[in-house]
Amino acid sequence: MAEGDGTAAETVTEPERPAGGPGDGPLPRLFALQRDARRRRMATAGALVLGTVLATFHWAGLLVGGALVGFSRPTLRRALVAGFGFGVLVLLVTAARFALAGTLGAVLATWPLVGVGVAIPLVAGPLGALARGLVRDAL
Amino acid sequence: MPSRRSVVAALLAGSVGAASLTEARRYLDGFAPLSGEVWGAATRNTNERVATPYGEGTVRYDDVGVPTIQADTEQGLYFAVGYVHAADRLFQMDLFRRRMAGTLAAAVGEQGVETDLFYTSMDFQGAAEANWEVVRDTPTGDALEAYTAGVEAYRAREGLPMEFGLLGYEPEPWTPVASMLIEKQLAWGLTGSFRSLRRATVADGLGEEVAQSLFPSRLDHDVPILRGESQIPGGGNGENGGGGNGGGDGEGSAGDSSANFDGSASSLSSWLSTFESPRGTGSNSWLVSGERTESGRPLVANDPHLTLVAPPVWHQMYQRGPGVSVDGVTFPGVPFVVIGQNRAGAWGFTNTNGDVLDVYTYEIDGDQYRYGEEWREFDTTERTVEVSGGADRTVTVKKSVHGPVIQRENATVGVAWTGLQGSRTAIAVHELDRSGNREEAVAALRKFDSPTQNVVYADREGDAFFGVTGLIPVRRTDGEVVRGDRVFDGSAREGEWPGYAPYGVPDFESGWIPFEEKPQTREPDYLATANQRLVDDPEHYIAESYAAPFRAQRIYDMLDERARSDEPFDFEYLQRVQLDTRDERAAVFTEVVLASRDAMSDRARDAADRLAGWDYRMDRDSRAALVFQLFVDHYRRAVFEETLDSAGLDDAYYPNDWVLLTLDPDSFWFRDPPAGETRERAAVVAEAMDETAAEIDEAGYETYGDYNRTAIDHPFGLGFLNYPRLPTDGSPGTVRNFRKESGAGTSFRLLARFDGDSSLGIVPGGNDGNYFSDHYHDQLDEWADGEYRPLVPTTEGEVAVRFRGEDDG
Repeated sequence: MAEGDGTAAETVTEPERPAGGPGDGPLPRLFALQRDARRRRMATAGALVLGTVLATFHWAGLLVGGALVGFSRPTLRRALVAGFGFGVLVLLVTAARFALAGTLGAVLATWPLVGVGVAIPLVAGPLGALARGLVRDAL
Repeated sequence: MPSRRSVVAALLAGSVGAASLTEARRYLDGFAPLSGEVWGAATRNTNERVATPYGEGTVRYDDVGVPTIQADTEQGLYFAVGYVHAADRLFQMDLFRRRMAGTLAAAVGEQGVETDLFYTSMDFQGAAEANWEVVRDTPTGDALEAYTAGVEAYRAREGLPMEFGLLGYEPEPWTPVASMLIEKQLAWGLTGSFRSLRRATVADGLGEEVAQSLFPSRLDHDVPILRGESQIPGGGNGENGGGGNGGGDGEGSAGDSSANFDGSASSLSSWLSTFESPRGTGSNSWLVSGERTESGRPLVANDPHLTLVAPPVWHQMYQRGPGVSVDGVTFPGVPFVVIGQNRAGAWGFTNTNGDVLDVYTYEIDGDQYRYGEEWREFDTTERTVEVSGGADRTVTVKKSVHGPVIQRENATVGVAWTGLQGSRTAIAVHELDRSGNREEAVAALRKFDSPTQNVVYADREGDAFFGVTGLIPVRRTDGEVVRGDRVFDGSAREGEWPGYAPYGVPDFESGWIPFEEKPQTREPDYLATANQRLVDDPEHYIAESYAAPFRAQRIYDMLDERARSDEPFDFEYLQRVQLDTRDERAAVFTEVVLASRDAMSDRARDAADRLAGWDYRMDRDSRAALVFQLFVDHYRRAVFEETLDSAGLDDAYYPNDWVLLTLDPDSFWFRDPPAGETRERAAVVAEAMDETAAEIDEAGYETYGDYNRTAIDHPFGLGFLNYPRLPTDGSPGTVRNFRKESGAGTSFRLLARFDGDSSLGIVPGGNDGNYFSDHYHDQLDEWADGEYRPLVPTTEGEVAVRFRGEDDG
């Protein structure tokens, strides 16, 4: 999801590339991961899975998942997009669970409650991803 | 300029803080996808194996979610019933309990406060505890303990219904006293009537003549439940025990009091009316002896008319255990089948309208009231009404010798009600379920202390019974027996109830009308009950008033017609009677309407002409039925509203439709109304019909079905929880009963037979109270269309829940 929108940006020149390289500490290693397309994809996938699992236990998992997904992205802007994507994924997983239980139609009929349920991950995902802004962009 | 990091940190801290520490957290806890408590019910499956200390058992469901519960022991059976009730209706059970205990606001907030103030003041909790004292050390107590354990097994280990997530609370543990509270709710809904206070309020504000007109002590008809020889075609209605040998309408005379009421209770009376059952709550039942039927076996029919809510007030089930094989409906919260059939017989209930509540005024000085020659302290305790999201309230629960003392503005009254005592009703219903013949059933019914009910019973041996349950006080003033249709002067010790023990255990054998002296018969040929007068000349004062006789008239007309014919009664005919839609109100009044055509406007005349040649059937495709039903409502207002308004009285003071539709053209309501100008009855009819035509035009109704639609709602008021709106047949005046305005109607239809074929039954909605269940309202369409489902237990096939001994794992 967010991977696609980041592809074009990866070809952009990097005028403000942060100092440091692999092995210089956690932040440089994070930046290195964020700049490496393959590792970034793996990290994003892991974050999506972990975030989704955490969200089944508590709503705070939506924030944590958003943050994890965000930190797999090289910039705040891309982190926010990825956080939103995480929210969409959570909704899809939720819908699939309801569909398997045969209650999706009944759930969709619970307006306005279902509206609240839809809004929560779409806000919480980007909100968690906002944590990416606590450190510099990697690009 | 702040750095990005500081801005982001502030945003994150603010957002997470707001999510965690404000009202937003409730929404997140409830509605977050994957973890939200509200959605849990949409994906949850209950455990298929449940540990029980009471022996093995199983639950199987049929295609509409009606469970068949089988167990090796009786307590195992009731454990399983508790588990099933909790699985299907836990929120409803908790809501009922909260309402009666006065703890509703702790769950629902401010909107529950008024209810809590009343119910706390009445101390139904104390009454329920007295009930448990009576029941605890009996086999019924053991059954209730097992039932409680079953509810708890579900509550503690399974997910909660979505309503708890919506309100953000978890239910307290279930207890036997909670089951007793449910029983109190049933009794209160059927006998908690402040009619005498309303009558006194009207007498005080508008005069005795108006009070007598609005609240007549007797309606002029000839279809009591037990009819005399002259009222039966061909004679012979069996022996009518208990009736026919008294003088007048019980002891004393009607309407000869209210002078001791100081008249300051208009506000109190109106407030108390909001805690009574909806207007017109009633029921039908009838039985036909085997001598009259095709099969030679008796037939029994019953359809109680209660508030229609989602989920329904009844939970249908089949119970199978040692000594128990019973099918029918239970109240969620109590394990026993109230209406139904067992291997021996079938039974049903209708409301007697017994007068078992009295209101008292006092001479008061501070915290004391005069009682005869002495001054007594009110028994006073402070209770806190907890309010979710609002300020808690403190209620002073005050009691006199009569029971709770209710205060509103400047008015204070004491209330005596038979249901405030411990009762054996749970024992009675438990034993009724297990009864093996008529004598055992009648022995059980003798213990049915509250509420007062007309019971019909018949069994496969051909034995039958009609009688009246419930303790009915024999009131005394200065040693003389008096009627209860007045507000008593409590300080003068008027209207005393010997044997009465509020919040305690009464002497069940003295102070009350003896069971055998209430109207009853063991040899009915056929009889019908529709909340009408029991007998024309009762030996004792039983009720302040009875229901309008429209339904009773129609049932007896149909039963008489068949009895007069050469054809025996059969099951199909019983069904025809139960679904009959002829409105006797229309038969009484249509001619009056048509005779008033000359006084009508053109549009009113056009509407009225629809009634010409009409068959009086309140069917959904009828335009005449639409006109008539709306007309009655407008005519009621046209006759009474101005007068009641002038005294500050609301529509709780309207009389029943028999009073309205039998008003003579020379009645003072037309010739000399207490408020407003003199009018001809025809002019009032014309005015009401004009308003009817206007309403039909404005609403765009074409037929009765456009108006007469189900409106069965969940207490939350959230649209998706309400049942779908469906057109249906019937009216407040028809046997097939549906009361659009008060949201009441047939809450269960039972047709029972003993000829080898299946009995029939149906509830208005669904058996499962969980919104996400397939059985949330899967019987509603059939109910609205007047259909039935066979009462057949599911004893083969997939087991939904298996109960195993705790050591079996």
